[in-house]
Amino acid sequence: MSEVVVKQAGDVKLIVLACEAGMGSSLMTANQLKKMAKKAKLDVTVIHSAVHAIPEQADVVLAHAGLAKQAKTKAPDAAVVAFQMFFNDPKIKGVVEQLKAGEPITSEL
Amino acid sequence: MREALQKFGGKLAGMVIPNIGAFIAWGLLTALVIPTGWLAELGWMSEDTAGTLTGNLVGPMIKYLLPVLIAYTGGKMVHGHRGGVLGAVAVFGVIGGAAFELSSGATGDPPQFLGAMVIGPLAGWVMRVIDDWLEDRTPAGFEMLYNNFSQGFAGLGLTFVGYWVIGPVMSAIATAFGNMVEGIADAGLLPLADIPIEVGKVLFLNNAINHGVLTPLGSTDVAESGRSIYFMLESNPGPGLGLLLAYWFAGKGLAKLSAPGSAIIHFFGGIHEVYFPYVLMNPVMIGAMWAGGISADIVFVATDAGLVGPPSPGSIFAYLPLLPSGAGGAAFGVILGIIVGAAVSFVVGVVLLRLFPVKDMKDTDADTDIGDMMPAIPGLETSY
Repeated sequence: MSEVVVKQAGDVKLIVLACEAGMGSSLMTANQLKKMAKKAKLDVTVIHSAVHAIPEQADVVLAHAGLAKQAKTKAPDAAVVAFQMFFNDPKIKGVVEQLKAGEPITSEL
Repeated sequence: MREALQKFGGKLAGMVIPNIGAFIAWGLLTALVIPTGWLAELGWMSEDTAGTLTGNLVGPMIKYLLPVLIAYTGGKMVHGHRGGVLGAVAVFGVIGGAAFELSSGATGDPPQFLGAMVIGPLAGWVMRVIDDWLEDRTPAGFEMLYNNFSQGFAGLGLTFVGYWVIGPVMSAIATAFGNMVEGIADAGLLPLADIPIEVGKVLFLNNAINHGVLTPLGSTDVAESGRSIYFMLESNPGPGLGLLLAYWFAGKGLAKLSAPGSAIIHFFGGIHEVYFPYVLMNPVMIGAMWAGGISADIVFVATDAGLVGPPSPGSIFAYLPLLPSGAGGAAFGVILGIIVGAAVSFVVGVVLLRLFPVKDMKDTDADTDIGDMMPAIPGLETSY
């Protein structure tokens, strides 16, 4: 049984927004997150990706709940956070707020 | 099980999606230059010129270019550029080796999309096996020779495999599948395909269905008749628009407030995923999607509507340039189907929302007030 991944706020450098094709909703949501991260003055890189192509160095992966399992399979060492709505879901906002407060991000899967 | 489907479908779609621009370019070209296309219909091109252009450009592009791109991409997925090149070579064997005849008498030399999807990754795998085997057996200084000729001979072998084995197998499958689909379409049952399609969509199989299955099917259609209904079965933005408008009209809480913004992104931006949560949070709403989708498909079938290429993303702005020419009401049928789809899913959606109200979206905050809900409306300034 693998243990739950917990990423310390200072260790989070790469956040990946994953969707199925990597062209539509992930790009849209990644841009939202980028704006939020910039406003919060976080030192992170935010990219979008297809769920089957999540880069190894991803620290935190955000995906819709329907794809979270696949994301975890592709990025076992990342903290996977699942959201329900594509716009300002509290989870997405939550990741930014936690990082701003220096709190760790715990993987949900 | 769902994961396995998502993975498999994702692989299929993954061979098509990076090349969608090529499909669209081909579709637009076809729409313009074929004898029943826009330029000929408007009298700006003679039928002869149209015929020549079709034979010299449209035909070869769909017969060779698109399958080669798919096969290359498939091979690349497995073993990078080297795998891709082998896939591109091998697919010519498949293209050469497959032609069929349907029970309806329609003969075909159909574009080998499925064949490309098979031989592309296969070639990638073959190249990887060969490269792995050769890795420790290559004498110093002979790497380039081994690399080039291992690929050359592999290409030769796979081309024959494609021609003698895979081509005929693909032909048999295409015949069986083509007969089945023709049978369904002839029996007027195509609109019912919306039932599995809508379910697949909210399970994130939308790309797999659309680009893994429908786009190749549609492209084959376009080669024959200049347009295809298959491009619309998954991508129609009408039903989703109706659903989101229903939430705006009869929904509650976060779902209601976020619906209009989502509607704009769905209908104009073409990102259908934004409506999936609205079905997932209240699964009975798939009834509205079915009603809208099936109604739209009935309109499409009745008006013999179709598009000339795959609209990607599924936005009204992507539909407009892909409208077919002439042939009576085909273009009108597309627009009508979108409107009908939206209207029906809206009405059914409102009814369902009144009968089965949604609980408010769960929020991490214990007390949610209007101030917390405002950021959910895209476009409004957030105050972080």
